[in-house]
Amino acid sequence: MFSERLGVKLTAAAGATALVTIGVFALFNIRSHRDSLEAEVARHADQLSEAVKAGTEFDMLLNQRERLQGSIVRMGRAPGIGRVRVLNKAGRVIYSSEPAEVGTTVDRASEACARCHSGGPPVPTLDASQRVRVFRAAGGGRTLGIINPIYNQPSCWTASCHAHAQGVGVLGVLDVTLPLAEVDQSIRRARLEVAVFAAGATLALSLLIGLLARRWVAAPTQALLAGTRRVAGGDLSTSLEARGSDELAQLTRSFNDMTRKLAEARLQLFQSDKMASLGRLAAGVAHEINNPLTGVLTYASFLLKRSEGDAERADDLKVIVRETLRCREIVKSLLDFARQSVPRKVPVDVNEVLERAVAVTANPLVLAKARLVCEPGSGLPRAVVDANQLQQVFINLLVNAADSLGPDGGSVTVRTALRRLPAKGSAHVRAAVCPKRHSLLDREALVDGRPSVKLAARWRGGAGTVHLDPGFGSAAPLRGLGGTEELSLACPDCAADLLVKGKSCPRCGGPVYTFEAPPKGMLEGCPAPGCRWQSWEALEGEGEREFIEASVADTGSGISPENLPRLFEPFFSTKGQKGNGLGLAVIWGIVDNHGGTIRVDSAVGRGSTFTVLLPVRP
Amino acid sequence: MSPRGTVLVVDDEPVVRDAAARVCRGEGFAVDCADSAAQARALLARGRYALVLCDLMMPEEDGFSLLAFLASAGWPSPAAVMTGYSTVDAAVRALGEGAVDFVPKPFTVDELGAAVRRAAAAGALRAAAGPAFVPTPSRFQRLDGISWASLEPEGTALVGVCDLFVRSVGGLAAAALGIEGAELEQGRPCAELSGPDGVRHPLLAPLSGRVLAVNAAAAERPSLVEKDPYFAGWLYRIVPSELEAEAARLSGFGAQREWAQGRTL
Repeated sequence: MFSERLGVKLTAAAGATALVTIGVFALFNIRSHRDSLEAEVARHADQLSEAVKAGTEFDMLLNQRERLQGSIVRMGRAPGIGRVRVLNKAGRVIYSSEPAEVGTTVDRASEACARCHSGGPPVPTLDASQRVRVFRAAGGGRTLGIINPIYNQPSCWTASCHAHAQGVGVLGVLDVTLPLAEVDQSIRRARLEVAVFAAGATLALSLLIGLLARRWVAAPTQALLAGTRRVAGGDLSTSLEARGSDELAQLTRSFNDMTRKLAEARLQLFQSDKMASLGRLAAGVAHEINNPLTGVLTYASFLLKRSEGDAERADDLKVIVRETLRCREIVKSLLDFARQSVPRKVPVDVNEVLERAVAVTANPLVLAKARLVCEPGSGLPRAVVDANQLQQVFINLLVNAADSLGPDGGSVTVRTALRRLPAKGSAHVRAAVCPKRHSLLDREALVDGRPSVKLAARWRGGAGTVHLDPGFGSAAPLRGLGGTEELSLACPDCAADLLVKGKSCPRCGGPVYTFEAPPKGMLEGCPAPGCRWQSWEALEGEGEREFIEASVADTGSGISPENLPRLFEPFFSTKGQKGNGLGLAVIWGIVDNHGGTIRVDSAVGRGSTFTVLLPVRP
Repeated sequence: MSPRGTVLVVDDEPVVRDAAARVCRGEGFAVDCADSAAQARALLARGRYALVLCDLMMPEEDGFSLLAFLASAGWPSPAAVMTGYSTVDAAVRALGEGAVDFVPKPFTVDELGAAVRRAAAAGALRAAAGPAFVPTPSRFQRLDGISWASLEPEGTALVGVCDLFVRSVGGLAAAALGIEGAELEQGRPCAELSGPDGVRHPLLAPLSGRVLAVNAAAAERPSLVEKDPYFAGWLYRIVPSELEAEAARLSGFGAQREWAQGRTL
């Protein structure tokens, strides 16, 4: 398992490479070191043998054999010199620093003679390098020997001793040997040094590579591996930190990108699945409940008709009729939610709706020991909304606030106010058509739960479908765009060109796309990533738009950050058996259908604030 | 026999049947009841009714099959449907199958009363009149005999009320219209038209969309709508939101003429 790890493998490979490289280098280095040392010794031996020859020449000419033998013995005693001897042509030792040897005959095949006498006639002359030999002496140590031929000269055959005849070339050889113990010790030391150096360098290099591999390769790879396992295990909220810009960081980023897209796709699938079953459930409930409601409603209205003159009874019956009508609207809303239908909007006093919602939720609020603070804003214009749906929003938010309070209760603060906001950042594209009136909205690719605008794009070296954030002036860059050079944007249905000819972005000078966003005229924008220029003349011409801001704040348990992003998903609930997880999903749907937005600010332990922004005019 | 005729109420739920029967009696009709489509067919074989008021969702045989039976018999009696499964699809489909009106459950006494009276009148008009429709250009599309929509070249659509509807409520005394910016939904009420008797009738929208403009003249002078329902008496100009899917559920006026001839002559 251990050796399977990437970091270990890389480190081992780097260590082995270093070891081999340094080893080969050291081998050559030691060999050359030894060669140069031996050459030095050989030169020294050559000089020595020349000196011996010169020093003994006079004695030889005088044929002073005793003196010669004495000199040679003395020379052999000098430190660093192994043996000095003179052999005659027949291989007999004439003089030697080891007197016991004198008189013995050296075999022609022995190391000292072999150079000249190895088969065939003897070689009369040799190079210095060829006269040198290295052999293992009887004592065991390596030894360098050099032979120096003694040539016949006129003085030899004219000398008084008449020892040598004139016709002979080589009279004998001077053989000097030097022990190589010092050289060998030096080489051993160098070998040890190199080995220590090689081991140290290999170790240091391996450590360094290992550390870097761990930092650059192993750690991000491990993180990716762990992330992949988490994703495979179903946790699609996994996001990894990508540092730097190397391939692994890019891989990490595309992993994050992929996981996010996977999560979105799964969420959409999940959502549509849930919506389908919810739709079936709602339809069944609607049918089952509407029949008994018909009985209640018709008989109550009969009674009401017959109660003219009895004001008290008529008032009671009116409550029954009114509340039954509310039931009818709730059932209808359930169906509407399942079908995501449009609300029935009329101008409504939002404060009045809020008041009714507060009245309905009085009971749960008292039970939760909630202190209700109501701060309705004054002078609010009537907003065009569906009163029943808006009431549902307030009721759900108030009940959630009450549920979030601990056993000691707390306070719930409700506020309304008028806000004026520019179109940029608050408006969304709700319909988009090409010049041939094909819808450009893509309900499959949602951005913050809203259908995005789908365009067919072509750029240099690529093509594909790109999606535009429907939020006006928000994160404008097109998703999925591979480049802006030689860019063309068109309707995916009819390929109608959506780039404005002859117009360029006033901010970056790039191309400008345009499409109609009914019923508010044309929208223009720059497709360049990084440039967020957009223009929606009809909306911007209206100036600031009026919104009713309604907020419900509690001092309850708050929402943990990991739950925040899932808050508005259908069937997401933190209330366990108490909730069905539909409340906030219904709210989101209603607010979105009104062209509004909903925002949550929350701190665990301190409470949450839900803020709804509803446009006064749709 | 009651002077206004007899209504056949068909519903599997006794409480709904009884409630509907009481409303019809209150409106001056005689009432027969049936708890299934089979029983209703048996009663229909014996005589004509001013109106068959039938539930769409019944356990064995649903309201659509009763509509099909009536259609195959050449509409001896007009039919209106009521349903608790009040999806627009069901309503529009029932109207397409020949029902003259649609009442979502639950209803108040007044709502059902108005609908029954209007439906009975519309049925009588259809049976009596023959091709008594104003000739209109082909771009006009109608939601049965209730409301019409006409596409304009700009992509917007005009919406108004059909002459049959106006005549079935006995003429217009008042028209309560929605406001600019409101959203219409096909098959859902988009205006309240009052007859001379003061009874308010919801008008079902022929198309979904956002209201761009409201015909103020029509709101001020309902007689304009009564006299010229297809041109000067338009009610809304809208931006259709689901035109392609919804237009398929509407029918042309030529078809209405054929319908009137085929069924009545």
